[in-house]
Amino acid sequence: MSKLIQASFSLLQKMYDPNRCLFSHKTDMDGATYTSDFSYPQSLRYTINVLAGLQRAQEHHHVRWDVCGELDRFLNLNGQHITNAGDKGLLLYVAAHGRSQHQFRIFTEVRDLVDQPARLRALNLQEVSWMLSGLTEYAAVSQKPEAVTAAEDLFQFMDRCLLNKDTLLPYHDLSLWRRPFTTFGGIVYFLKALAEYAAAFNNKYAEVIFKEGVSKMLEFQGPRGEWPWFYNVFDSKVVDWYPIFSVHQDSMATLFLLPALDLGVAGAAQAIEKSYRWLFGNNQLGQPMMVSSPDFFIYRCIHRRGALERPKRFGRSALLSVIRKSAGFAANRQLEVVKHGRSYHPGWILFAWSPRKDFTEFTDLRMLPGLDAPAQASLQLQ
Amino acid sequence: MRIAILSSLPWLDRHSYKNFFLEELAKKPWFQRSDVVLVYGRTKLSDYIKEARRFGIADGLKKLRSLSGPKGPRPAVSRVKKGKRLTALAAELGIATRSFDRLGTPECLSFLKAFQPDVICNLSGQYVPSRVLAIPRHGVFSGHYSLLPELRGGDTVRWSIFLDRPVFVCHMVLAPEMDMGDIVRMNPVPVVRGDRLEDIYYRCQMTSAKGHLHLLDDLEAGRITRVSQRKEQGSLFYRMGRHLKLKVDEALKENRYSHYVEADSGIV
Repeated sequence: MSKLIQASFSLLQKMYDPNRCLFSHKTDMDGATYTSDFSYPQSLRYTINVLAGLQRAQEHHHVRWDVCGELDRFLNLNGQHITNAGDKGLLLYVAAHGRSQHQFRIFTEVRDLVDQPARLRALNLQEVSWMLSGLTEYAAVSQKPEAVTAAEDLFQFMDRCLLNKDTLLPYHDLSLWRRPFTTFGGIVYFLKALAEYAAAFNNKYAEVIFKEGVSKMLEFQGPRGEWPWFYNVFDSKVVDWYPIFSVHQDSMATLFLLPALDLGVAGAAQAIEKSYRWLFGNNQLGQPMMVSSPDFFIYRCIHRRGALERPKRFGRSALLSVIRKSAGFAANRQLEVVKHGRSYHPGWILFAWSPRKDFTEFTDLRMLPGLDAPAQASLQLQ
Repeated sequence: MRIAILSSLPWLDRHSYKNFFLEELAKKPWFQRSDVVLVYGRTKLSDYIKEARRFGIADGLKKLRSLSGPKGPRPAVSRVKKGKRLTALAAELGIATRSFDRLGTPECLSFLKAFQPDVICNLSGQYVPSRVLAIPRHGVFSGHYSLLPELRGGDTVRWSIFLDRPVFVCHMVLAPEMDMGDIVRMNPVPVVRGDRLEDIYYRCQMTSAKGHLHLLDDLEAGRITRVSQRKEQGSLFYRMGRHLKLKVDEALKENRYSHYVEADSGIV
C-alpha cells in the first residue's frame, strides 16, 4: 500500500463520526486537534464520496472495511435525508459496485428521474453526471436491459442538451444565466461519467468525446499545473482561475486523466505530474498545500481574499466574456490559502489512486518530507 | 414490383443522385410506371426552416447552393450537372408524386397501405416511422454512409474520416431501432487525395443510388441476402460540432487519411 493511501485513510478516520456514520463536511486542524462539522446536506454527499473511495481501497486490499455493512448503517441512519438526484446517482454507483441489497431500490429512483425530462433539465452537470455513473455501474453489474436503456437515455440527454459540441465543453446547467459558465468540478464528473459509459458499453462515440474532451482540458492547464475553476462554454476561455482547489490537483483531475492515460491521450502523464506537484509548493504562492506536520493534512484551496467571492466572480466572468478575453492570474497579495479540509478530498484520493501502481513519486509522497506512515493496524475503522 | 420512393423537402429536391436513380429506374425492363410512386414527407415551411437551422445560417446557405452536387475547380465534381427538380423529372417519366406533412400522418399511412408497395426505397434521410416500416413486404431500404455495424448514427462520413476508417455505403432494411436493420448491401466508397467532404458525400450519394438500383434488380431476381446486426457490434455516433468538424477538414486538407485510393486507379 502506498504512503498516500495510508495517509489519506488515516486522515479520513479523523473526519469520521461512527455514531452518525458520517464523514465531515469540513474539518479544521489546530495543532494536533481536529474539529469537524457534520452538518447536512454536504456531509451526506461527502460520506457517499468517501464510501466510493473506501470501496475502491478495499477492493485493492489497501484497507479492511465492511463497505456494504457501513452503507447499510449509513442508509438506515441518514437515508431518508438523501434527496438530491446527484447524490442518489453516486449512491447507486456505490451500491451497485458493492452488490448491495439497496441497489435495485436506488436504481428505480434514479431511473424515474431519467423518465421525467422536465426534472432532468432542471438538474446541474454534476448531478446528471453522477446519475450516469450510477446507472452505468448498475447496468454493467446487473446486465438488466432496463438499466442499459436508462443509461443510454441519460447519455443521449447529456450529449444532446448538456454538451456544447462546438467547444466540447459541457454546460453547468440549462438555465439562461448560468449556461455560459461552467466549472472544473462539473467537467471532471462529466468526463468521468463518459469514460465509464464508454468502457462499460464499449461505446466508441463516448470514448471519442471523452478523449477529445480531455485533450481540450489539457489546453487549459496552467503553467504550474493548476486547473482553472471557471470557464466560458461558448468562447472556450478561462474566465476565472480561482479558487484553485487541492482536490482538483491531486485526485479529481486524475479521475479523467488516469483513464485518458490508459487510452493513450497524449500529454496526460505530464499533466498528472504537473497537477500533483502543485501541492508541494509548486504553485503561485510557493506554499505547500499538503503538509505532514503536526500531522498529515491537505489544505483546501488558494482563493482570492475578500468577501462576496461568488458575485464578484460572476461579474468578472461576465465582463471578460463581453470583451472576449481570458482571465489572467491575480497578484499574490490578493490571494490566500484556505486551510481547512474536506472529507471528500481523501475520499477521491482513495478512489483515484487505489488501483494505481504508477506515479510513485506522488503515491510514495517523496515530495513530502517528514511523514511517518501510520501503522498498518490503524487502517481499520471497525 | 410495386415501389414507393421516399424523399423530403420537394422545393429543394434537385440532387443529382436522385435524378440518376429515377432515370435509371425508368430504364429497367421490369419497370411499370403505374407501379412506382414518389412520396414526400417534410413538406411544410417549418421543415425548410428546421433544415436551414440544422446546418446553421452560413452552412445552410452553402448547402442550398450545393444541393445539385459539389462545385469548385475539381474536375471530378465540376462535371456534375445541376439536377432537375425531382418532382418535374418524375412527371416527365410518368411517375406519380404524393406529398404529406409527415410520413407518419394517417393520410400518408392510408395512401401507402392502399398502394401496397413490395418495397420502399428511402432517399430522404428522414425518420421513417415504424408504422411505415411495416407496410412493404420486403421492407424499407435505406443507404447509410458508413461501415455498418461499426458506425451507426449521423454525420457518419465525417466520423469515418475522423476515426480513419474506410468510407462505405451500406444498404439496410430499416428497423425501428436506429441503424439496426439487416444489412443487404455494402459498397466501399473511394476517397482520393485532395477530396473535400462534399466530394466524398457526392460519391456516397451516387453509390447509394446505384446500390438501390442493384437491390431492386436483386429483389426482382429473388436473390437478396440479409445480414442481421447485433447492438454490441457498433456504436451510435451523433452530430459533430465545430471542434471536431475542423479536425476532419484539416485531416482532408493535409491528406491525413489511411484509406486513399489513387485517382487514376480506375476505382473512382
